[in-house]
Amino acid sequence: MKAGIIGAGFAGVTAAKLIAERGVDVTLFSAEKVPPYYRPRLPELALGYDAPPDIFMHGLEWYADNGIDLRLDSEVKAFTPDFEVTLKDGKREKFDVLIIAAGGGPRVPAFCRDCKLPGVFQLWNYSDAVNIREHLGAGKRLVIVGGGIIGLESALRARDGNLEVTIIEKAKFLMPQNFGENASKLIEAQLRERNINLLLDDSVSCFTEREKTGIFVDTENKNGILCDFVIVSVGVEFDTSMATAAGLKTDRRICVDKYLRTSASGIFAAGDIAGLGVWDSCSAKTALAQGKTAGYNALAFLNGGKMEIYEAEPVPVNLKYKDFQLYSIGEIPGLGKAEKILDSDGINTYRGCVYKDKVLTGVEMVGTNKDFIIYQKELLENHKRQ
Amino acid sequence: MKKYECNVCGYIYDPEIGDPDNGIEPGTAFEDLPDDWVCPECGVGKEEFSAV
Repeated sequence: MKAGIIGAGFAGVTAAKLIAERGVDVTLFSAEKVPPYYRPRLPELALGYDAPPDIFMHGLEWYADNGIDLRLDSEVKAFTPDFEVTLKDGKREKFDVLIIAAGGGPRVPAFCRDCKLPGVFQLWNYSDAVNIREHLGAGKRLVIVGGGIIGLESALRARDGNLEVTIIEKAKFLMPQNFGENASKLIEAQLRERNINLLLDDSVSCFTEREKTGIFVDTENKNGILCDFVIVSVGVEFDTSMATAAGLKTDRRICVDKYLRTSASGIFAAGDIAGLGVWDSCSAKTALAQGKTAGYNALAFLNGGKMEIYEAEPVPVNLKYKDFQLYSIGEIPGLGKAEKILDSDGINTYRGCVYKDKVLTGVEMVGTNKDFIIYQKELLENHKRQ
Repeated sequence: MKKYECNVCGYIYDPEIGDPDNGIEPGTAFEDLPDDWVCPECGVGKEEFSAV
């Protein structure tokens, strides 16, 4: 019996470990040339002014030692409903069960698509981070496109490295999916306090190379910024073409049920690419939990055992960098959702809750995480009870 | 007492500080943290921590 896992991120490696522990052969395909690593550490690798961290999940020998056949530089090009995998070199391999844990990729906006300028980077994978790090000597002016969690962390780290930083964000206030306007205003103030320039309600129209002086970033609102390099971090998108070609049901992600089964029997999905249709996000916490369930259920599929249910639940979004911190889970203030401000000094700290019909459904904190875990626990229990 | 770093997100557990917001008093060694203690930043378990 052989299990095949497509994608060696946190979900894929977790599933592989669980399957190998039961003595079943497992092959783990990675498109990367480097061993599996923790993606949340990439901004630190790219911009941290300390020595670069070791972000690999395990040494290479760990995989073979633990019965996992890890194949680096082995991008999977296709798979079939009867578990045959085709690699980019045309070779085919047959398995008895498959787990798709291929994750997502960076959203590439129109202004980036044909941009060949050196100095314009994504921050999605290991080589992106290494390239950014190597490019840091080019100059001191950094533009970050996208004021989400990656953009904010990158900006904070870059400021510590004494770079001049401008964030360009399309929305009118920061992180509107995770924070209400009150909390967001505090985030904005704290970034500006750290001398991070913020252009809100604006977006890039194009990049132009200005010989010897850098990259010129033109925006929709006619702001122009001359800089030395650009990081584009505007969210995730999923390439489901391989799954669609195999006949699997896909939406934005690969559709799975509560057992993480795709629409094809014996093919599971786990991690960012798995779409339960509720509380889908990109999260290491979810990757770990789904990797375990997918691994367990793949084994159950092989030996006819009982599968376990993966319970989808709201996932926290958080960022802590030195004394800058933000935490959010569940719903944000809005129509029909009452906001209760626990406390706020208007500058440094903000703690707020969201209630729907008197039930706690959201928590947001800026500048502090006091009791966040307690509120989170109550929120998750409320969620289970529904 | 040793500090421990979360491999996933880089959070440092410092035993001298503990994790008071989550009920862990300062002076609690990593080894003495309850089995169900998770990283306050990213939620992964103790097994994803390494001594630094």
